[in-house]
Amino acid sequence: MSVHSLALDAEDSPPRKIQKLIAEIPSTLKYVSLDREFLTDVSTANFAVLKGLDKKDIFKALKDLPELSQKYRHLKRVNDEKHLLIAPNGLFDIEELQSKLTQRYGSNVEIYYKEVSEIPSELRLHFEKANTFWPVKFVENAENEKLYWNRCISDSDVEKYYYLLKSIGEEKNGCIIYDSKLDKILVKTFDNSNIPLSHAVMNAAKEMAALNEAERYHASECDIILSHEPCVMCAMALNHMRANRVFFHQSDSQNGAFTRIKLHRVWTSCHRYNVLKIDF
Amino acid sequence: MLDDIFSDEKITEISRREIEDDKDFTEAFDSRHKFMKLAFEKAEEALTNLEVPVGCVFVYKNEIIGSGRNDVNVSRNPTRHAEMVAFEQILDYCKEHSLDSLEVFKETTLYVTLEPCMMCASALQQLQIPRIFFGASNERFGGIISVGNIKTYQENPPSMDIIAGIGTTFAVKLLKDFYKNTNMRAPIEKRIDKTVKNENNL
Repeated sequence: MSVHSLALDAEDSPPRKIQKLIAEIPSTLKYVSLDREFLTDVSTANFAVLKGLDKKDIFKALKDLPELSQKYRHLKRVNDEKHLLIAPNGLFDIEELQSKLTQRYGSNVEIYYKEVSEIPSELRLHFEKANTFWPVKFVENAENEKLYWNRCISDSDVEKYYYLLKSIGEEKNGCIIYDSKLDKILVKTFDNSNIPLSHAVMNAAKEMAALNEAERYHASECDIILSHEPCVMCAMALNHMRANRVFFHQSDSQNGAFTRIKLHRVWTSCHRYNVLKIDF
Repeated sequence: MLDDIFSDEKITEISRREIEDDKDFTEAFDSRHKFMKLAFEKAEEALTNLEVPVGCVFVYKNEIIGSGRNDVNVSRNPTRHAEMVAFEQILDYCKEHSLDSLEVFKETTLYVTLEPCMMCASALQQLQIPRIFFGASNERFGGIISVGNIKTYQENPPSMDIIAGIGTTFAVKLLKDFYKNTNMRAPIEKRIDKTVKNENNL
């Protein structure tokens, strides 16, 4: 990993490796994506289930019963014991159905009720729980698994972004605009508490403009590293700047734009960026 | 188009503080035509300079202490919205007059041609600006009610008087002119530039 560029030094001082300046990487370091939440607990719905069918009648009975509504397509129709999922409780007159089914398939058939998973599983974790109620269909989505298990950045980046964060220091709220392709810090700014609204991000916008890089459109393709969760003003400023990803460490329960109100999720008709919280 | 600023047809009350006999609000409301007209002049100036046509004025004790219009393209700084440009003027004004800017902001009224974006709305809230008058709403970035809701940006947000719909049609017309590139007030060289660029894109 190249870290020369991580140390932002005056031109006359030799390049330093940032690793030497800071302590080791904490074992608790993790990156939490705030882009979406996953349900991990299984909520259930009550369904009517048919048992006592002869094996040869299962296919026939399936054709007799109405299809499951779109909402319940994640549920398998038949379980291991060859019981058949009929419909959500209350959708049909059960007595009437029971007598019809008895007529057609013999007196062994019986309707009973069972809790089944109400929503499709987006995570393997959820799927495994859901399956204990009633078999469900599931296709693992690698992206979802990564997001949930906080593996949304590569192993080499795990260290890199931690060093970047640490290079801001502890004293002030700071902002780094980092070009990951060039592995280069473009600007590094701090807030000035003596001037209203002189937050680190707003100062970074100014410095970025002063760089006057003809090729780049604002901070597009750049990652932003912040010591603190931005307020709404700064979060939106980063949106106007076309940031690629925003990393922050300390959350702000009073003014924070992400942990409080998830502002990045209302951006549907404009640019949007991914948000990651660096925890350790 | 001035008629549109002077028409009260589309005025909407978005939020009001419960202050009995609020003379400051009455005065600010009664001055809406005069100050919105000036805000629109700033917006037109933006259009002339090929910037998104939004303009604003900030009024403190019946005096304009800061005004601004979009300056995003020339500055290459996408946060240089009209309000942000005006903030800097106000800070200078306060320095010159030895005033505490935080106290001044708390007694200042904003007149702006377009609903402030989420960035500017949050800034206004943090400065505890008590009164906002704006023209058209902004369906893409609006930070008062259209996209973001200003009441959610902070824990215990300060209450504000917010009035919308002054010069709506005019504000939209300016934006349409900008996005259509039919800006006849632009210097001729710049007009040609844009046309050439558009043809190349075809």
